Amino acid sequence: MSKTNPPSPSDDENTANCPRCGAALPADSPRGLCPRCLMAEAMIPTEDAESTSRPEPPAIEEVQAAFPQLEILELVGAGGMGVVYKAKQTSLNRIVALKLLAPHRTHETGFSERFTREAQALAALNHPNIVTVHDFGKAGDFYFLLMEFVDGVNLRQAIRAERFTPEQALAIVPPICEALQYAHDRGIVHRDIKPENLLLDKEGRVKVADFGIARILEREEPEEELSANPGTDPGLTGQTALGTPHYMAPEQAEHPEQVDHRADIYSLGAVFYELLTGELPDGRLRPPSSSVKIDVRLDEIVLKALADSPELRWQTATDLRTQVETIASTAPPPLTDVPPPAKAPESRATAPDQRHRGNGALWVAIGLAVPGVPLLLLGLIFGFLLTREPNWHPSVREAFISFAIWIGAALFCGGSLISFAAWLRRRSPRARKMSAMVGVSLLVSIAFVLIYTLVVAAAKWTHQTRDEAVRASQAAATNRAEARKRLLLDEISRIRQTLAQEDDESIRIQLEARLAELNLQLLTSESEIREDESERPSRDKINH
Amino acid sequence: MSSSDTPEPKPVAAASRTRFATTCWTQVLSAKGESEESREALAELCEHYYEPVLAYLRRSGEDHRGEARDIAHDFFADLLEGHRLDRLERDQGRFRSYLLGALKHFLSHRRARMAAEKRGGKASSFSLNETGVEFREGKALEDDHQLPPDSWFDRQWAVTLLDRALLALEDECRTSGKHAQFELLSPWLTGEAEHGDQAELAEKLGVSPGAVKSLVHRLRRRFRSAVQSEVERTISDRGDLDAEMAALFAVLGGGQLPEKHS
Repeated sequence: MSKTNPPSPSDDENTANCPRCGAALPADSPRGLCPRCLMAEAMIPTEDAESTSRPEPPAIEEVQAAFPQLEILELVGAGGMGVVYKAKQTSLNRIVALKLLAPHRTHETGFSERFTREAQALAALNHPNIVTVHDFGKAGDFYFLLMEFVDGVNLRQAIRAERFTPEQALAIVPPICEALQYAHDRGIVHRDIKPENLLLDKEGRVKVADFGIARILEREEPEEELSANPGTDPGLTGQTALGTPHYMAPEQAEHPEQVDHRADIYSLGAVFYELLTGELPDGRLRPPSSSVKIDVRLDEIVLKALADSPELRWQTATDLRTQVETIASTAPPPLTDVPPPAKAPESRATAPDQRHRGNGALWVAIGLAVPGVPLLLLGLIFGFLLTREPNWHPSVREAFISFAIWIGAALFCGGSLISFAAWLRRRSPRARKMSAMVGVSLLVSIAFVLIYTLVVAAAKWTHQTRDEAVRASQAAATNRAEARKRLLLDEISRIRQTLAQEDDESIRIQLEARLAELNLQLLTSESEIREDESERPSRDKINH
Repeated sequence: MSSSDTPEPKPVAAASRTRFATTCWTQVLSAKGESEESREALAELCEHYYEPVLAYLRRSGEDHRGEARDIAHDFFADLLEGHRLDRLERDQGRFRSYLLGALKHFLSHRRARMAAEKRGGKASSFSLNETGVEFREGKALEDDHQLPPDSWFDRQWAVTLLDRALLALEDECRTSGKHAQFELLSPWLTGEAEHGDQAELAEKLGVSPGAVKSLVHRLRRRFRSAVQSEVERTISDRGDLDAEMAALFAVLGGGQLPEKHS
């Protein structure tokens, strides 16, 4: 090591020397370390990707020469892991992505075997959310992977272009979880989940790229860029943010060889955290909801994914997905006075049940409300008809009304109430739309019942008054006829008495004729009364 | 300044650092000590760089009756009362230069006063000890015969700054629960060899030997960044960072930078 020693401040024989520059250590050396060497250390430029870890991408012509079966179109990306070209596979006439692994790593011993082993495992991955590996091998000096070309941007570019809304973040995480679970089930750990490796195609689908590449390129010393300043926004450091260890699980940094699938869950948690808050999880984690307005239930989910110890994280990607989807499908609790969510394991156990219960209530509600509507309508229509047609037997009428209207109304109201209650408990956009309809139908049903009650009451009232009037006039007519009959009877009895005492033949004949006439009238009157009593046809004109 | 007579180390690529922490010295300059925050910032800076002032006083012969500490107190009290801030120029780039200039100014006034037998009886005392900052007493007494006071001040400054950076790094490790790691790994900050067996270290840390390298690598990066932030707190223009670090390196002995480790 070249050195120009400082004018050594102390030449005491008992002072130690700096192991690096050999100069005597001054007594005031910070922590017994040579200040000169410390300062020298501090002045070493932090290796950035351009200078060391990232080689110059090979020229297109050079690559073209190595891949005659492809038409190399353009360089689409370069990272610490290698470079990616957009290319056309002429035989199949399809666009593919050609990834050339960073050459300075491929010279390491055992690389070839590792590459073959891992690439075969990768090629077996066939999932809509994983970038498919078509082919791999060595061409010229290049170790390459031929992959599905995803026409779109990576998540890093998307984040830079536009801040994600929590809803978008919630939508993006479940498919990544599916992809991870699929790979984890096959024993493949991604090991380098970060926004740069999550691609979004033009249809908005997410695809995970570079599965296991980190393992292929595994080195003794990770080459990642480490930003020690928590305030540093990696987005601002441009290309150097590649492979930033902020996405790396703690155990991955310390025991890279012992990493299991839960390291991916941590990394995804870090991506999720960044999507929600715009910041990287660093040092002491603040719950995301403390800096952005999001569902507080997300805090628990994200922080659990970011637990230092793998045992405390979500144990599978599916667990995480279920949690995220639960939140995505249900509405956030009211913003004020929200009781903190239950402890993680508990809620994890109960959340899916709640979801099912919620659906169950919805189905019960629909089952009740749907037959309620036609019944109610039927009842109303018949109710109207029946009030107008008096010839129905009253008990049939009652049965009809009580069955159709009251049962219908009860079903409908019950259904509406249950779904309304369900709505109060769950508030996702979908459920909100649904419950808006339910709310309207609830109002309508209540209005129906009210209107019906009013109509029936009104009909009853008009009936009553009409009947009363009829009965009164009937009674009056009957009274008149009876009064007349009594008069007739009186006269008949008087004539009979006179007839019994009368001797004069001519008068008797007259009286008998009168009697016959009266009897006739009496008969008419009696028939009239009978008629009146049975019904009430035109009776006014009889008694003139 | 001493940097002129030692070879300039090659400058650090400034583009690799992007940081937006408000530097303390910038705060002081922007308000010229008139706002509460700027006064607090100045007080904080003075606390941190008490040691170089003391070292300067001792080196320049002001300590004959053991009164260097009193003079330092008076100086800081005077400084913090704001008497010297109105003379601040906006382009007064480095706190280190400013502090030394102010100190010399203060001393010459003091000497003049003493010569005229005038006692400035109203100096209020400002206790730096209230803040709980520990001063490493006595260390600055070492080696009293080499560097002139100005360079000695700068050297002491550099050592203080490095010490502060290490403290910050240690704090950082402690908050992330890796204090033991820091204790074991910090000797590696200045070199590879003669610090014990790597395998042994790996065993102590409970990690693989490969991971030790990686941990050391990370610690070095963090340390660089800690030093840089510390320097940035004392300069107003981030463009001066490299120059300031070069100056400090020069006063510590300078020379060639070591090879990169990785």
